[in-house]
Amino acid sequence: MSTQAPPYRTAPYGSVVPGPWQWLIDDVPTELPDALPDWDYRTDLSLRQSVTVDVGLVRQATGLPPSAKLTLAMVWTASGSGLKAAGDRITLPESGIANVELGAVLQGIQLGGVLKLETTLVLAEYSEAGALASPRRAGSILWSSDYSTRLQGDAPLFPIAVVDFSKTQYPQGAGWHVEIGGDFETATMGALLLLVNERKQVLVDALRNAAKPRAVDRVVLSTVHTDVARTLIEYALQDQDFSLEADYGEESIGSTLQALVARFFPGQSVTHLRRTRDQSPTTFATELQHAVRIFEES
Amino acid sequence: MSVLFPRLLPRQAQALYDQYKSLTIEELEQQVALRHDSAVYAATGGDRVREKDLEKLRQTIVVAAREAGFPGRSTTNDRTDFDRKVAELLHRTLGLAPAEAAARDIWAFLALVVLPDISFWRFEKRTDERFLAKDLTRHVFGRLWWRAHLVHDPDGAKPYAALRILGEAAFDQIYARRRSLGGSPQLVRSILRVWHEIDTAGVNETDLLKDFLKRLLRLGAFMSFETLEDEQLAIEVRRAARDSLHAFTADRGPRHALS
Repeated sequence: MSTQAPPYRTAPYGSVVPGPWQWLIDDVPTELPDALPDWDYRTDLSLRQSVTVDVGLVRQATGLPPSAKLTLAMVWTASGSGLKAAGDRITLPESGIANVELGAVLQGIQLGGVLKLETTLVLAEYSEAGALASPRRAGSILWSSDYSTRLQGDAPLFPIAVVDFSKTQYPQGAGWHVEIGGDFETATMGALLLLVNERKQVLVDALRNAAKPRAVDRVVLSTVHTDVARTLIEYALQDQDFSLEADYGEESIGSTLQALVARFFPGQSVTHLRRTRDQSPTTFATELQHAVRIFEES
Repeated sequence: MSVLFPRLLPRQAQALYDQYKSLTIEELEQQVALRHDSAVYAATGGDRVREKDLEKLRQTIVVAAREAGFPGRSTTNDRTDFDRKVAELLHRTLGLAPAEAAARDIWAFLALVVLPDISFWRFEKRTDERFLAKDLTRHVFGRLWWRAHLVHDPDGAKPYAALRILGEAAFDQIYARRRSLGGSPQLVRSILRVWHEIDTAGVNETDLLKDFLKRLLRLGAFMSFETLEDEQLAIEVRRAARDSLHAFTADRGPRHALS
């Protein structure tokens, strides 16, 4: 979201109070967690949020008269598909306190990756009736808040394919391979793929049991996690164009790699990390094991 | 229900491309297949596409290609017609989830395994971007699916009618701003509808479209287009288009007023 100050008066702090996003399973609401590990394209999401709006206060602060139509809406964005659309759009009353139930049923087929839910209060129709510095254009954002949940869990940051390595160019005895394609601006979901060798039964079992891992599965998953993190970070460091400051766009490979580097090596510069990796690769590998907390319970 | 397509991994795709780029269309026809030993499926949920459906898809696209001159030479108009037909066909029949369609490897599979003859006929220059899907906006088939997806109006009498409004170069202008503008089918449809209304006579259309989209990008910093109903959205998009048009028209006006 842009931090740019809008060229008009907005709703004050406290005039809109959103409740948590609820996820309806068989019409029973439960708070929407920040990750849905078992989600797939076949799962539609029924969502709801209660929001209280002090309409009088909003109008007073923005200078918008009762005739100016205000709408509270939810807009979702899915990083996997790159799509963005609205759920409910609710027209607010002329005055008073409004208790609004926002909702949407999102088709699984449209989603993937990180699902961002924005709750937004807007001026819904063009209005010249406002006071000085009041918003005029339809769609002008008066207040906004967002919440994100990672679909497909956060174990796979990207799709996994289980495949017989003897039918690929990779050595038959290998356990997994991280496919990375495209430039740093490419969408992460479309460009990363973790290939798992179906001949490595212990590995296939561990991935299958990821939701309820046994002791042996935990060890395997932690090993894979560490190695994938190392592969991705080394991929970033070996490319001289990679930097933590560049704007690669949301949910791009570049931003995913930036997030990984920042998470595992907070406060360290890319130059420093490159130097460590080049001058002391074994130390770098060990530091990474420490950073990803190998074999620790998550 | 989403259908999962096979993914041809980059190294295999590159190898096939290197092998195919010097072959004739007739030789490429001999390479057509519905499976590839090294193709993989993502374990993301959904059913794997059936080979008979891939075969049917191929046959339908071959028919469209023949109407456009395949395997011989074709005119620009023929190729434009082919693109429109295939865009609708791919989107209407593949059953792809958008997140699947964002995976470049599935497009490499279609272009190099199922339809190599058609792909290389469509793009005689045979540059790798058209086949390897390094950039979806350039891929022979990927760009068509996404174009259809973003203009598709499920409630309209002719859901794919907007495919006729913008040419490839112009559509690329929108798609290149996908993160900010092009990810919202409602906004894309509105842009297309308004663009269709504008009288661009005497104005450089490419520059005007760029300016129009830039204005929308700037407005997007403090406006939420998706919160608006279609009519209100069209009014705001039309206002931005009109501002662009006025700016361009003013530029062409006399510059001696103050002299």
